Formats: sequence, structure tokens, C-alpha cells
Amino acid sequence: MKKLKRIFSVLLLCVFSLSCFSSCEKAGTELSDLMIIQGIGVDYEKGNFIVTVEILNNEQSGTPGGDSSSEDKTKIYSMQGETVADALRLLTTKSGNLPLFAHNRVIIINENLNEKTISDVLEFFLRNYDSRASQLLCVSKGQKAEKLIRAKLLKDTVKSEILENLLTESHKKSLIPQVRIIDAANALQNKAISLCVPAVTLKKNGENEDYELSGCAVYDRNGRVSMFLTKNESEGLGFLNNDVKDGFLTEDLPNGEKATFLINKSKTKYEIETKNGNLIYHLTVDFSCDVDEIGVGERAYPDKVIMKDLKNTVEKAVASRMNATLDALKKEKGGDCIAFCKILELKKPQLYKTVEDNWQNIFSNIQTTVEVNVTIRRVGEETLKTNESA
Amino acid sequence: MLKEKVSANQFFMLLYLSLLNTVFMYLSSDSIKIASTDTILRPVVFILVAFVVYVPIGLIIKHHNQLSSKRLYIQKTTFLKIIAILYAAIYFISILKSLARFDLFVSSELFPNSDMTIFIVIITLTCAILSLLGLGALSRAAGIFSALVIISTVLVMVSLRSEINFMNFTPVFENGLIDFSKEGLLFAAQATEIGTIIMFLPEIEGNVKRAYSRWVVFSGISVALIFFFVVGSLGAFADSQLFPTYTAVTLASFGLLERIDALETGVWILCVTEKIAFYFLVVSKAVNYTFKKIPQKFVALGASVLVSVIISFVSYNIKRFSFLSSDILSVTLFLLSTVILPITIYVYLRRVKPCEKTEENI
Repeated sequence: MKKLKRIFSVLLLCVFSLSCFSSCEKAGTELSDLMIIQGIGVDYEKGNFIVTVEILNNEQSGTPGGDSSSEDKTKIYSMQGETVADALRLLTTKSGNLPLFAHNRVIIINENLNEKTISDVLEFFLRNYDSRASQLLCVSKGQKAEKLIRAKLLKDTVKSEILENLLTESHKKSLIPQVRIIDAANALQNKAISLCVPAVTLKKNGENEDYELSGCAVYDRNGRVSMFLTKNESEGLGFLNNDVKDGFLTEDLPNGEKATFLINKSKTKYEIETKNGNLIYHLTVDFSCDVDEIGVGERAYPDKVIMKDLKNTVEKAVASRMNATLDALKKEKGGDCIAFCKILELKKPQLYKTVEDNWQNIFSNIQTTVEVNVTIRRVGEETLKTNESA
Repeated sequence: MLKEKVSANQFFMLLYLSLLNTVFMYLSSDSIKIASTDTILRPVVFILVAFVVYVPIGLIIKHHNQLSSKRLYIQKTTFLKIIAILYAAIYFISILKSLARFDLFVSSELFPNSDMTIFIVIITLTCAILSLLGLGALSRAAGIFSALVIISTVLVMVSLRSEINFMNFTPVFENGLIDFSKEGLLFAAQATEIGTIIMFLPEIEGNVKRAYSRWVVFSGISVALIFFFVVGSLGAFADSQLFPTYTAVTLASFGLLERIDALETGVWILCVTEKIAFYFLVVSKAVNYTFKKIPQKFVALGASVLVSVIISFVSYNIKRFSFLSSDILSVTLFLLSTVILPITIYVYLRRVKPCEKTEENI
């Protein structure tokens, strides 16, 4: 009896383990029977959503020495439907496989969704069990999202992976904000915050095409694109959001030469003051960088005078980027995509409650001061002359 | 059944896993919001409540120790048998509550396209069989599982560190102290496991009071830390998610381990298994106290069959699930198991005359 009990326990444990630790997310489905989606483009035309997906070519991936296969690494399908979910589910009728969203890298949304909003697009991805909150978002500017998914990049590449890397690396370099589904959902849930999403276009490169960053799209409270920030204006977002980790700055020096600086640290502090009923935000940026390159010539060796010039140059560069972004957002009524309202909520919760409903108007009239404290940490391997007369 | 006694620390390891399971499967609802800094402070209310509800339990423990030292005991009476049946009913409903939540988790997050009824039935039967091993085996397993759970949870926290955004927090006591206290109490009411202490007093060795205090503080800190990472990494998004703790875990990755959620889910299943097996043990022990002729194993297996049938019925429709996850049910179960019944038992014990232990009745 005891032996029987043990055998029964072992069998039960096996069944338990098998059902708990199934190797595939879709139990009982072979990988080759799945559409492993890498990127999704969403357009809206004539009352229908059009989704275009890039999926891994399982046959090619499964071939030994698959790289030598003549087939492409990915396949592309388009389908239209009344909702995003409808269109994505209907893809099965084209490919014959079940969609797997868990490995999707990026969602590209057409800037012009006509009567639909970005919330209509994201609803499916927020509700779907497979879909992960860390998928990246971007906007196709001046082109259909489908065109970006079907881009003619260098042969045999996973386009969505390249786009994902472009978005991730550009964020690391503080050129654009990183917007995942979770970030978009947080911004859309807050009635005072505007959503800001990186915009991407295609650029011809001989016979091929390349992805190119094209600033950021700012969405209004209704979930429609209200304006675009230019490339330069987007660079200020990182400083305003205290989201600069890495990157570089290239600026003109007073002597007409150019210099490039590598960012190694940046921290933005916020102080809020109310004066005559107006909100004043005092932004202080503690910024540290290394000299990466300065113009050659007589003054190439960074002596004390040059160091002061460099410091001033960087201070002005950071401040001008921040002010340019702020001006653009305020002038164009782009809205608060730098979460000034959230800072107010955390710092002065009582005051925030009184202005929360009218924040869009208040944001346009906010006064700001920007102070940048720069530390030049290193100057590279060139000799540092400490003597002014040198 | 292994009938060895357990140390107080081992027993509270079991309760620790049980409480962590509640946090892992925590659902945001209309009455309790997750996306708020107050969520991180809710364990403070839990700690206070846990110490308050310990008063009647502590009195029973004191009384029990006094009787034991004098080699006295309380004879079984109809009244105590009714109390035992009430305990059995409370923890039977608690099993349903935990399993229904686990069923929702499995069928929503792990295998959304599959019918998970068979899986849940297997888990239920497995837990019922595990409960036959007794408190000793479950508590010792809890010691090992706790180490696994703590290691994996710390791994998730470390990898979620970069996801923390201080913009996701909200002002403290944003909606006032009354709302905070209410939400804190509702959270504390999830800890029905506290009521099991008095049922296992004869099997627990060591200083229960000290072990309980440690459990309360350690659990409070653990829960606060978990909520800190959930709120800090998800922000308002947490309130739109069915299982916010799981959603936060899906954001975590550690070097080559990009899907830590798969690892963490396996560990959570251990917590669920321990908790349900422990509750089956409570039910079978309570029923066996009243109906001595029915062996504990038959009670456990019978209860598991009944649970499987009810869960299959509940699983079919999300509306049926909402009753089992309602705040009123949680509060009722908590108050009954940790306040009303312990006070009633204590008052009763003070009134009845104890009997002397002899070689026969030991």
C-alpha cells in the first residue's frame, strides 16, 4: 500500500510539473504553428483598422545553417478589421498560424488615425493576455505604419528589431523619450498629462531605405496628435523629465570651433513657487560630462580659459535645449508631456487639486527658470594645462 | 501522517508563505486602489491589526500553557465541536477563495486559451494529499520554499530597480486618513491564517508570542517592499491590471533571463500549494475533532472533491468569482477566525472546569 502511495504521488507530481512548466506559452502548440510577431503597424482607413505584422519565418529559422537559406528571416502580413483585435485575429486566415504577441518588439501607430484615437489602438494591447507592457511605441510620421513595417532595409534582417534598437539606443543617448505601452497607459490615464511618442520616418538610402527619427508626436487629451516636436526640441525632453543617462552634445565654441561632450551624469531638480497666482518652476540641472572632441588648432589644449568656455558652452547648450522644448510645448498648446503636473502633485498636493481640471490652460502660462551646473569631468588623453600662461 | 511537532518558527514560515500568496495574487478593485503610495504603508495597518487580534489568541495560548503545566486539559463538548465545525467552514471557504483567485490567475495570465479546470482539479487533489503528510512535513517544506520565494523575489526586486520611477508615486494619505485606514483594514482582513494558530497549539513548540511578533513584522516589511516595487514600476497602470504584482514581474529581466515571470510563477505555485494544503489540514483537523470516527484523510479528500466541483462552477463565470473575492466575505472570515471565535473560546475555557490528564486520556 505504501509503495502504491509513493508511485501515485510521483505520478501526480509528474502531471503537476508537466502542466505547470510547459515549455511553450501556448500549451500543445508547436512553435512552427505560431506567428511569432515581432512588430505591428496600425493604420486606420475608411472605417477599418489595418494591421501589418512582421513575423519570424519559422521555416527559415528552423533550417540548419538558416542564414544561407534563400528565404527571408521574416514574413509580412496585412489585414483589416473593425477593431485592432479583429484585424489581428483575422491574420490567422492568411497565415494559417496562431498569433503570439508575447515577443512583439514594437508597435507603430499612424499619426493620422482619422476619427480613432491612440486609446482605441492600445485597448487591445492592454487587455490581451499575451501582450507585454514593455512593448515599445512609435508614431509613423507622414507615412503609413504599414510602410515602415514593409521598409526595404538591408536584406535578411528583422526590421522590428532594428527599429527597436534604434528607439532603445536613441533613448539611451537621450535623443528621445522611451515610450512603452505601460508609459502610454499611465499618461493617458492622467487627465493633465499629454502623451509624447517618438516619431519615425523612412529615408531613402540608395536602393534601400533606413529608419530615421523625426522628433516626437505629442497627443492631446483626446488621444490625437496635436503637434510634433522637432529633433532638437525632443532632446530637451530628457533634461526636463530627469531622464538623461548617457549621450552626447555637440556645440559651437566662442572661437568658432565645434566641440562634442559625452554626458556621464545629469540630474534635474524641481522647485515650485507661486507668485501673484502664477506658478514658477525653478529647474536646476546638475550635469557632468567629458570632452570628447574640441576643434584643433592653437587652443586645442584645454587650459583654464578654455575649460571655462567649455563649461559655459555646455551650460548654454543644455539650457537652450530645455527652453526650446518648453517654448514649443507652451506655444503650440502641445500640453504637459513633461509631467509638470505630477511634480506639482507630489510637491504641493493641495494646490494641485485646485488646478488639476484646468491644467492644460495653466501649463501654457507657467513661468520657468533653468539653471545648469556643469562639471567637466575629464578632457580625454590630451594634456591638461593648468597654467593659464601655457 | 508524520506526527512530529513543529517549532514556532517553522509554523510561522508556513503562515509567511500563505500571506505572500495573498500579496502575489492581490487584485486591484474599485474599493482598494493599488497605484498609490498609501499601498506601501498599508502593511503598517496590518501590523497593528495583527497585534490587536493577537490579544484573544494570546490569552488562549496563556490558558493552554497554564493547563498543560498542571497536566490539565479541557474535555470535548458539543460547544467546542460546533466551534470546530465553524472553523472548518471558514477555512473551507478560504480554500475556495484562494483557489478561485489562482484559477483566475492561471486562466488569465498563464494559459488564457486553455480550459484550466483539469489543472485546478489536479492542484486541489495534490494539496489534499499533501495535507495528509501533516503539519510537520508542511512546515518543514515551508522552510525550504520560503528560502526559494525570498531569493526569487529579491532577484525580481533587483531587476526591477531600474524600472522604479518616482513620478509613479502619489502624495502620502492623498485621500485622507480615513480612506487609508479603511483600505489598510481591508488589506489586513486578507490574513485569515492568523486564526489557525489556536488550532495547532498542541503541535507547536517554543515561544509562539515571539515567533508571531517576528512573523508580523517580517511579513509587514516584505509586503511593503513588494508593494513599493509594484507601485514604483507600474504607477497608475497598476489599477488597470488584474494582477498588478504579476504585471510588475513581467517587466523584470536579469541578464540573459528575460522572462523572470516564468521563474517567479513557478515559485508562486509553491506558495499556493503550501497554503491550500495547509488549509485542507485545518479543515480535516477541525472536522476530525467533531467527528472522530471520520478519518482525516477522508475529510481532506472529500473536501477536495467538493472544492473541485465548486471551483469548476465558479470558474465558468467571472460574476461568480466576484462573490468569492468580495471585501465583505474577507472581512467576515477574518473577524470570525481571529476575533469572534477566539474570544468565544477564551470566555468558554475560563468557565469550564478542566480535567486532569491520566495515562488513559492522554
